[in-house]
Amino acid sequence: MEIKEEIKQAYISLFPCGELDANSSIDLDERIAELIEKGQYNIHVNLEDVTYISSAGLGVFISHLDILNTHNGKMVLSNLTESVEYAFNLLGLNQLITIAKEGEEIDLYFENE
Amino acid sequence: MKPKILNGIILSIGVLLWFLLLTFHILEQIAAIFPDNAEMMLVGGFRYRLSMVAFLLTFSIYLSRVFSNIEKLQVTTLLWRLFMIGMIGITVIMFITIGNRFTAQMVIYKYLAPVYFGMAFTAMMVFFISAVFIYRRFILYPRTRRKIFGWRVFLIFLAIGLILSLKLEQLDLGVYIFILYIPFAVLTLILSANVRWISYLNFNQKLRALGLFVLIMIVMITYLIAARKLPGILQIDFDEFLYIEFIYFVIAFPIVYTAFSILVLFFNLPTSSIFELKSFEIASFSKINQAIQSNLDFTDILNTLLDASIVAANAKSGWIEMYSEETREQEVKICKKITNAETQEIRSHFNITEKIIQDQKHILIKNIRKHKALRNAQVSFKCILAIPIMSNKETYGVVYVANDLVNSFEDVTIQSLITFAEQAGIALENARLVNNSIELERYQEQLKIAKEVQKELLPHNLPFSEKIEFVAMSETAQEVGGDYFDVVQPKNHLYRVAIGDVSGKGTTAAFYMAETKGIFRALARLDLSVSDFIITANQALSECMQKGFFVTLTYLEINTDKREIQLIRAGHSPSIYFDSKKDEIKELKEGGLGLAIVRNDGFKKFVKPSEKIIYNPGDVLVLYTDGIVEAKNQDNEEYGYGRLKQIVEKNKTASAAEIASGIVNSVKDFTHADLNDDYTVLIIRLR
Repeated sequence: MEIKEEIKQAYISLFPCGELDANSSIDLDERIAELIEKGQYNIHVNLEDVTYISSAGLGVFISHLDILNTHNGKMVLSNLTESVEYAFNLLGLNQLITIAKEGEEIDLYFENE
Repeated sequence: MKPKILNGIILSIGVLLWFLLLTFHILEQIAAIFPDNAEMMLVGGFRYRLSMVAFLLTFSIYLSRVFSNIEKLQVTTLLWRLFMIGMIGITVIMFITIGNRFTAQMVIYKYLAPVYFGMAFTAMMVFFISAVFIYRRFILYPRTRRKIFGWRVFLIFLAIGLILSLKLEQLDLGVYIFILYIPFAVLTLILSANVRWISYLNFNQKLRALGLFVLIMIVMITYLIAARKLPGILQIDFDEFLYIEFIYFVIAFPIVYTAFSILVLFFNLPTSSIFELKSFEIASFSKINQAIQSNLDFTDILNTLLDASIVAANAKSGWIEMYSEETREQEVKICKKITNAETQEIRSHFNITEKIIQDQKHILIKNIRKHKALRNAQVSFKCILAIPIMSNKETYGVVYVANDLVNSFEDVTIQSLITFAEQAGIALENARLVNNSIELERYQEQLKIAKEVQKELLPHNLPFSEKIEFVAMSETAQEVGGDYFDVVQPKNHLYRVAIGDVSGKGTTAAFYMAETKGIFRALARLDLSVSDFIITANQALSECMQKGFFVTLTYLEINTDKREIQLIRAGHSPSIYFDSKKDEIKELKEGGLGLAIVRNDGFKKFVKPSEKIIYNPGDVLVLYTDGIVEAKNQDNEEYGYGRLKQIVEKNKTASAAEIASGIVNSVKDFTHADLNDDYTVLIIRLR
């Protein structure tokens, strides 16, 4: 899967697209792991173009939470489609991961660090 | 009649005729004592000639039959047989000559002389007639209509020769020459030109055949000399025998054919090595082809290829370089008549294999000394040809042939070698595919076992009583899956139920599903509150699951005495509850985080209090996994909660089994295909 990236001052934005299932989510997982290894602990993932997310796809977001927390980092998701948001909420992940409200500036979430 | 018996009879008749002819001679000697009877003219008379014709005919038929059933043309064997027949005859004649000398002074000599002649003459005739019929097999190889016709004409000539000898008066010689001898000579030449069999011999066979033909020729000449030089024994009085044209024919034909064969063989010797090389190429080609069809291992295929390439290219040495899984580099797999050090020397100057894999084209280095990269390589050869071993998918390696002569590989050779390498490439591809499919089969076998084992992990008989009824339907998308459900009944009035889904699919999910079962089975026996169950289960699962994997679970406790349900949802799809009293279907949405997501004490704060329901008879609880609501049809549309609710609504008063199958059938109708996710429905009907 091709993941577009935008490097901002305080964080990096990732733009995965398509379906995040067991196979395609590997790329995203590897990319996030790479960023963390490089010391980039503030990650924004724009899920605008993600039409579907499987349990394995959700696992990608879960697996990096601990390490981000220990480094005082943060993961912010934004622009979730209805079904993707439903999946996050069902699992209770909305309580763990910051999901930006619609139309809000992502920068705000990383400013107070 | 059996051919052997018939042959025996014919031979017996021949022998009888031989004695008859001898009798004529002896009688003539006796008659000579009485001058009055000189008029009888026994020898040379019609009866004598008739007997002679019958004798020659019988022997010809006999020998024709003996040599007619040679199935396979084994040139050297046949020639050797003919030579032996000739040698036996010569030996007989030698003994007769010696006998003749010792008995010449005896009184009975005049009676012995016909015996000597008869034997010598027979030996010579047997040899030449045998030659005619053995050569028939050579001429008719391969059989064609025209050649068979020619041979029949030849036989007619022989018959005419026999019949003509019955005449008493001599015809004019000129007539003979025009009517008989010239046509016969032409026919003999035409038949003698049939030496196709020679082209099928290899060099050694040709050499042996040539030697044997020369020996046979010597035997023939010996007979002819004997016929001239051994008076009284074999000296044929040509004036007397002039009328037996048959004898001339039978002698002339084999001599001409032998002479022809010697010449053709002699001139064919130099070309035979080329022919052999070509036939070797064809043989190698078919050998590699066979390797494609049979399941040979890699080394066998490579050895066949290298051998074939070295011979076809007439090369001094050769080797094959291939990619090695271990060193992750191209390395020499096999080499012939070259040391590994030399191939390394080449590679250190110029990695030909790498270049070929890049370009997928063969490389010919005509002269190493003039090649800019290899100029200083310390190797014993000067010319290298390297050809990729490819199948349509990948390049397996490179076959090298090398020679110590500059520019020693021709275009034709290169073409042959490319074809060999292509064939070997296909063979390797085949071998690889076969190996893969064997491995795959083994995995499938293992998965089948795993599927059986997993089936055992799910309950077969769910509790059923007048107070409560459980029915479940579950299927996995792959052989094994991550869906889990279970019911335990620790007390008569108490049921503990779990339905869960491990993240991901397939084998990993299946292992964690088994772990989930273990944890559920252990904890459900303890008297934990539903919240404590979830907290403990989260702890247990967190300790044994890989990062990023998690379990969603709905856990409930049903007390049939109190008619009370306590349900807690940990990230799992919300259950559906049919309240029969209110005739209302509702979604039990309240819930918290899935298990093994937060793996420390912090989890507690995400645990929501359980949902408490006091139920009435006729209420239904529908538990399911996301495979149901996330099932998609061809338009990529999800089955969804709405449709599920409708089906439950429709079947709300039906039995638990009917509700379960109603849901599954509805999902299957919707998708029109096999589900690509695991799914489970668990229906609890309360009474």
